[in-house]
Amino acid sequence: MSDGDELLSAAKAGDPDAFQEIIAPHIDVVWRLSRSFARSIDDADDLAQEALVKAFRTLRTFRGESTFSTWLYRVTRNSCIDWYRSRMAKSRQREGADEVDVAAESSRGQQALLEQKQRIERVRDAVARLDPKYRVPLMLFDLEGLSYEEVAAVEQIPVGTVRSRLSRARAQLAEILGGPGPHE
Amino acid sequence: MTVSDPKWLQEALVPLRRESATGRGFPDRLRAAIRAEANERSPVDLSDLLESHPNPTVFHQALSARLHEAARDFPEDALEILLTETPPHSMFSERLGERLDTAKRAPAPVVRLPGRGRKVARLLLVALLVGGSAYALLHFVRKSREGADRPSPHHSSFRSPPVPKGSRQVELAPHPTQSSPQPLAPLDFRPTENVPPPARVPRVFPSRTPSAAPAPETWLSPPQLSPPQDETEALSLEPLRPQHSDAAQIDKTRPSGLEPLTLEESEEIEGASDGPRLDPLRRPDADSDRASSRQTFEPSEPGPRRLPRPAPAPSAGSPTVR
Repeated sequence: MSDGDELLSAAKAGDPDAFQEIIAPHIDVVWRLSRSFARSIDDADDLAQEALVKAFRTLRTFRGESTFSTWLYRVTRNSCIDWYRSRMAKSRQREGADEVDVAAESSRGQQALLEQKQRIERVRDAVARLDPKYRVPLMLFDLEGLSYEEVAAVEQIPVGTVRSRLSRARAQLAEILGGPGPHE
Repeated sequence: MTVSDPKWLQEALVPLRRESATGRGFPDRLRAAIRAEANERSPVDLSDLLESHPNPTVFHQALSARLHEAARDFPEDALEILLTETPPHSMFSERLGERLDTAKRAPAPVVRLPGRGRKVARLLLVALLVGGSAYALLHFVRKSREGADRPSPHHSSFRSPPVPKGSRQVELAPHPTQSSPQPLAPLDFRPTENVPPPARVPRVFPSRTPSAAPAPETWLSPPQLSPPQDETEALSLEPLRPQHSDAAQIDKTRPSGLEPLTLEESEEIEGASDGPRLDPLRRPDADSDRASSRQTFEPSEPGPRRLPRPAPAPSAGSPTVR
């Protein structure tokens, strides 16, 4: 039995330290995926934490039919979509608060930081406007570098569907961001 | 450049890729949340566990690890682990669930269990913690629950069905002083001001993270056992340390080990806690110290549940439990 297998067994038996160790390489991916659904960093923290705790709670159902990362991303994806459905109205309310923060920083003269933040927010807003069924493949494939097959495993859809959703996601994002059109 | 060319997209996503979960205390909070989850895990679905671990030894290890961890810091969770695998529609399960829910919502952890459930929980917990067969005990619980609607549980014999080879079989019977069904006596698990010091008991399952302070253990009073009907039903109690039946007092501060419980410690523990106590399991050679030990097992305050004076010593070799 390899060290990874032993860690996984220990984590499945409820060892929090073992679980921390096996999720360590994936925390950033989980957090960024959560961030694409959350409207604030605090919300992203909460969402990522909720997803990871849920993964710890349900780890004993992991049967090794996929890689652990695939399983973890799927748990995260499901948590994000649940969050998206339940908190959409609340997230919209928070947009106003974010704008107030940006305005406050602007008054302090931190122009460069503001521009950088605005750029990030512009992309994030564009991603956030995508339907989740397009957003998750885009985040996993284009942002995190997963393969078509891995995205298909996370989404539990055929590879061909992943390709078509990615194409639609990019087209929608380009439209939102004013990027290149299909005939440019 | 077209939409299908991901270069523009990669450039657009660069700012997002630079974001990280680290640097804001998130990992620390996550660690704390996972550790809390480990302590407050949802109850084990014993049926599921049983199916996924057909080997009794593995099942026992898996269940005992969870139970021991829960019992260390969250006694009510230990009860929940033991008892939430009751049939989903049984009255017993519903009442127990309500009471546990109430306990969770209450500011102070007050868990009130039906007398029968409390007894089963104690027996299970004690037996599991001292190394009894969880596999056999699970069957015992199921068997006993099947008879939950009987008018008096004290007229039924709770015997586990045939268990896998190598497992200990436990025969449990009601206490002889209980002549009628007990009402649903409330059991208050709130810590008392004078919490008795933890006793030394054999630690079968080592804990990975010792708790800082012992949790209230007043709920872990010893089970009430009665002598078997005949010699063939005698209970094999070697792991229970017959001279000290108060094994439910869990040592939560000491590392795992099989340190024997001395008589002085036993007396100290018994003197520090209230409520009826059991007589120690009799040994053929224990007549000399029986008088002193019997006295310490009496309740500190006379009450309606006070145990009667013990009968003359039984025949040698019979592990009788009062």
